[in-house]
Amino acid sequence: MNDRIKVILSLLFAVVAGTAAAASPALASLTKLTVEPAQVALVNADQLVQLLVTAQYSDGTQRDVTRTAAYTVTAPKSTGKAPAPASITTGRVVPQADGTTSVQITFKDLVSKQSAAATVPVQVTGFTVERRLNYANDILPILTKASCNSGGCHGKQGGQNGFALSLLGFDPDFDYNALTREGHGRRITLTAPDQSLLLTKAAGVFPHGGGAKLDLGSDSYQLLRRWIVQGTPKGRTNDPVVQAIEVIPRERILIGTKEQQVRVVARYSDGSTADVTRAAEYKSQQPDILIVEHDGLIRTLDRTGEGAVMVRYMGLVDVTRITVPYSRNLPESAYANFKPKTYVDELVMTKWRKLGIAPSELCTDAEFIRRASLDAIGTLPTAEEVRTFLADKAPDKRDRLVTALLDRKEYADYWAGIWGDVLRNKRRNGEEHKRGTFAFAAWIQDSMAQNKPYDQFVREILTAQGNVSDNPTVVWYREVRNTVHQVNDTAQLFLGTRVSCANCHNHPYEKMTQDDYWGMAAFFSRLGVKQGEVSSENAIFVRKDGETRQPRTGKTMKPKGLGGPAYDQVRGEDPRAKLADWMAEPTNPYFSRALVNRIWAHYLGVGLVEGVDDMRLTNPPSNPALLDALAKDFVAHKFDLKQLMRTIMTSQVYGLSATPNSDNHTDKQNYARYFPRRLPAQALLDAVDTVTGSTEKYAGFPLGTRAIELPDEFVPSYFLDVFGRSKRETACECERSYAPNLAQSLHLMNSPEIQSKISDAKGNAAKLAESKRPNAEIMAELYLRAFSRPPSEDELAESVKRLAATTDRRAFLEDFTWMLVNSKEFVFNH
Amino acid sequence: MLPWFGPAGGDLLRVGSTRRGFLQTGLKGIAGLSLPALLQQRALASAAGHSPRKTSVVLFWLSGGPSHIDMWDPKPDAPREIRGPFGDIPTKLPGVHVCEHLPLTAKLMDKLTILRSVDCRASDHTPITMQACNPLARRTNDGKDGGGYPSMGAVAAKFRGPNAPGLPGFVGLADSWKSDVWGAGDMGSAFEPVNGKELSGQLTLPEGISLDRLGDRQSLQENLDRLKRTLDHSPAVAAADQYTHQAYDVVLSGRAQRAFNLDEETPAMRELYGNTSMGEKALLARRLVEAGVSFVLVSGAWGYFDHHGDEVRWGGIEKGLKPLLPRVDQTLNAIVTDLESRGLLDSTLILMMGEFGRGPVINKNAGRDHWTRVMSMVMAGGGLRHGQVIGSTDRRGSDIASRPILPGDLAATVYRHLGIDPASQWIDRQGRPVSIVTDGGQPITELV
Repeated sequence: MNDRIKVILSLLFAVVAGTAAAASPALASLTKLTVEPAQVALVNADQLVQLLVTAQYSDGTQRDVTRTAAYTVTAPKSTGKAPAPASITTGRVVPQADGTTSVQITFKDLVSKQSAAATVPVQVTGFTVERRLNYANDILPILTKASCNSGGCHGKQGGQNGFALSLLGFDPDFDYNALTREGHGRRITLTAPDQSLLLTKAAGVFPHGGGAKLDLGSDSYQLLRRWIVQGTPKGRTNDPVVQAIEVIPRERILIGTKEQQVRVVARYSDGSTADVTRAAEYKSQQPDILIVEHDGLIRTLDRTGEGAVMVRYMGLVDVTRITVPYSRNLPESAYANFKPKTYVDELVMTKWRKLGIAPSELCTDAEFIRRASLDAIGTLPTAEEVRTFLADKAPDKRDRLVTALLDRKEYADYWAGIWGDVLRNKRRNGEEHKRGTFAFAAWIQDSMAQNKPYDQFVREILTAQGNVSDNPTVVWYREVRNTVHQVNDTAQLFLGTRVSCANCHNHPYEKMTQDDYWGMAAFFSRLGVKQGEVSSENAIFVRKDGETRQPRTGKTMKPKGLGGPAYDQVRGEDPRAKLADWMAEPTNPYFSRALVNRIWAHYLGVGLVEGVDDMRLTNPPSNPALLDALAKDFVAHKFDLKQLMRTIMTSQVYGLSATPNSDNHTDKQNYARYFPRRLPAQALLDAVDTVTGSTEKYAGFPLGTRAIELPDEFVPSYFLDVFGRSKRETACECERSYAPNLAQSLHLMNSPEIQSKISDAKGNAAKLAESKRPNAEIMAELYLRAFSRPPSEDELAESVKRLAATTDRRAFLEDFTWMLVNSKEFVFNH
Repeated sequence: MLPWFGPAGGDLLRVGSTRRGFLQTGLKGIAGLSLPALLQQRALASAAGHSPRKTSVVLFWLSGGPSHIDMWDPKPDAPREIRGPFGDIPTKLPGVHVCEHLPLTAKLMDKLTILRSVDCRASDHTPITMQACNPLARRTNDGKDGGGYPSMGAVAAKFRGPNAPGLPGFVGLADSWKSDVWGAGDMGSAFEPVNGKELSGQLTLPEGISLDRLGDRQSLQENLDRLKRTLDHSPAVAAADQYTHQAYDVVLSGRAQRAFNLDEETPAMRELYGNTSMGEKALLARRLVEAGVSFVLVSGAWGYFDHHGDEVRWGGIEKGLKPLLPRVDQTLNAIVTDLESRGLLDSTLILMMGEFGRGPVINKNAGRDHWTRVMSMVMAGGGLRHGQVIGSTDRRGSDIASRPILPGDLAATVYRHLGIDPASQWIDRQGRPVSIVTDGGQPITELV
């Protein structure tokens, strides 16, 4: 071991010792050292292997010590002059000559002073043979790793400065041609390899807009150069093709260390494997928690939480999850007040224990009725409802409240609006679309009111045909009008995954190919649109025949859901029905998970997968067991939406306080407390009306129509726009915005519209100012209306004192109403 | 009442304000008042002793497509049906002539650049293409106009942000919002232009509310908003809180509001800009730039340069365009001389253009029809090299004869002035990076 490594090791040990001592009172003992892989066989001079060295402790914890272990390579048995067959740095075994040797690895835990050792045999063959390179297997990964073919550079449509590659190399034939044939072959100079533009530009010897991407003389540079010397071979048709990659480890809790080396193994069509740790690309999905280096070393920043690192190689992806626990050995008493009631509670608590966080207390009954009412029906409880609920002494009153809320008419109104957003029920600005839009909105509302099973709800939309008056769901196809929209919306909305990338190229963050995309498209191949019974409307019909071709390959595609069976096209059948069948299969991995995640995110504020319509391998759920359990339960209950909501809302987890404690205040995704969220635009406007006692008038609707009842996006309202109602342009849940901005603050604080509501002559402030009720009752009434709780003693004393002191009661009550409307307690659901 | 939105006396070409347009668009753009990361970076940079230049852009949008031959690219030697009804006059630059009805422009020519070879083939009757200066941003009439590409003003709002906090990066001054202003495309609603009219309305206290009473309310809130204290941990609550404080600052300081108050200007200054829709908006644009807005779009009225002929709404060249020319002339003269006297001309880039040029042959209605092969435009200020003509058309004024200027070249020039890296990219809804400069655009070397 050279001196530099020694210094680094001692520094690292110091750090490890420091944290371990601070975090862990009872010291676990080092039991053994394990190494992955257990033996190394290198079959040519280009192969490398990254070892993973893991220290195992008596308490079951594991610690990556790849960078801190000491390595020695046994000298060759023959003469002293020949190099050892392999050398090793930072756990990476590099071949140097044919032969066999072994690597001795030792690790000493500087805190416990315990040591452990392991040995790995190494065999090197084929070192001196110049093997025939293969473009896709050897060259393309270099271009990808150097981001030559990234979307910001030559991989974007049309390329960069006349040189175009396929995005992330999904089309190697195209790229091979671009490198070797286009530009009059000047990118490659076979007679003088070092003069090739491929090398001179990449190394920054010639001016290159992207800068120097490869070091002159680096291994990658040498490999490119050798490929040119060999005459730029494309490779033989029977050369192995990479079929899968695996990252090791898949999951790790970091205890006593701030880093984790990963190892990536590729499996080829001929059954061989290769270590591609250095050639793979890495991306941290939570860069505020984890950073990852080019060679697969993950480091944690000084933040606790969970993160995922995506690994990508040759269009294949895998992901590893890294957890940095909040604290270790939380006392059992931290969970004493939390009594799990349902499987939801159990599974969430399992996760807390793993992370070392603990729940806040249960919220108050007043908080619960406000929260549950706003979440389930988009409506504030009335003062009377609050009083009744608070007076109820029965232990099951929260459960009964949930059931009652889900049976209210407002439930159907509110959820019709939520579904109308993502189903893009959009009038745009045409009167001619009004009839269809209203009919579709009424259909959604009715489906919600009768609690139509979700699979049936989706089936009726997907398989819509005929005219608006027969079947209002044909309106879905008005916005979702071509194949691309149909595939994208179906996947995003009903399968919770975004596939649009794969329309033109393989998906960069998911194992999804262009064939998968066009297999989905084939479900819509027989869909026809003609003029409907009213000239401005379309009718949907199904042709007897019709097929879809994959645009790049020209191949006819069978209808096929993502990872599902391929269906034969039968003359006279509507393939869309097969799509609905596939979705409703209990084993479908997307359909029920997407829905339960969407509903969970609605009630808990944060999805189990965040980006509720962006579920993918590289964006894993924070609690997979809970997602699976909810999905299974949903299927078992025949896709019953209200049952699912009841399960969520009656859990103890949903009823936790929004006030954080010291054991959970930094966590943002594990539901140890309720995450406050601003009221959605429609609910907020209705709530402002409730508190001020005024009534918003919507053009074209009778006075008294509430914002949550509006059927579409077209009804003009500055308030709803500025508070982020969806424009219904896309199927993305994200179009409904909860983000705060200055305009919202200005509007609530300083607009004539809100001022006129507050000072409405028929409004609450005016009425209460004239009423003969005692001051304390007036103030209590205002608090109950706005915050769904009685005022605290000091609030009541303070506000009554101020009311009594004022000379202009109405002005004071207006100002007080203004204060309520502008307070966070009002604007947020908490 | 803000004078510049009232019916301006004598401006017969004013198109009635389209209330519907306002209602549909709403004030979504006011979200642009959020502090972009860049502004924060700049605050840090200036704290560290580097003070980046406060640069800005005013784009005059001559909606409808101004006739290049009858304004900035006269063809005196061509036959009358090409030459048109107007004569030409020499300018301060030897050999350079402009239309006889632009005498102030002629005198100012050493401070201007006329670009006569702008390629507008991708454009249409739409603000999209040329306000984005991006040939990929086109009107498509399929509900996805513009292909998601943002205008230059929206790019300025995102990548530069305002020059002063509490102000938006991109303000539009136009009566016909949808037809004359192109926004952020898919880049994000936070970068939509702020509608000047609505912004000014939000900054004024509602009737019957005095500053004192707002102060009372604020103190009531501070005493009684209990949740604010217990939930300060939550990022969502904290963010909302930050905007609440900013809202108080904006309303109580009145700085942004003052920018809209033309009454603070002297009668002489009002006179200089003129009592026209374009002139008043130009004066307001100057005030907004002074206050810290980075990009102001000015449109006098919708479509009023669409001079097809005497049979249609905006008339032909003689009856329609001629009365407009003195306004164009006066506005350009006013803003250039005014900015210069304030020392702001070098930091403010002025652009004047429309969506395309007009046909080389006068039609039977004494007008000219759309012409997308070439158009002319004018630039001033921005610390660029002026007093020149860039590019030329053939003798009929129908095609580019030399030095084609691509829309992307204009974008690159504008972003260079604003200190925006032309290689910047934004991320679209599919997560794909999109470049702000397309077309291989390069800053116009003759200017920089």
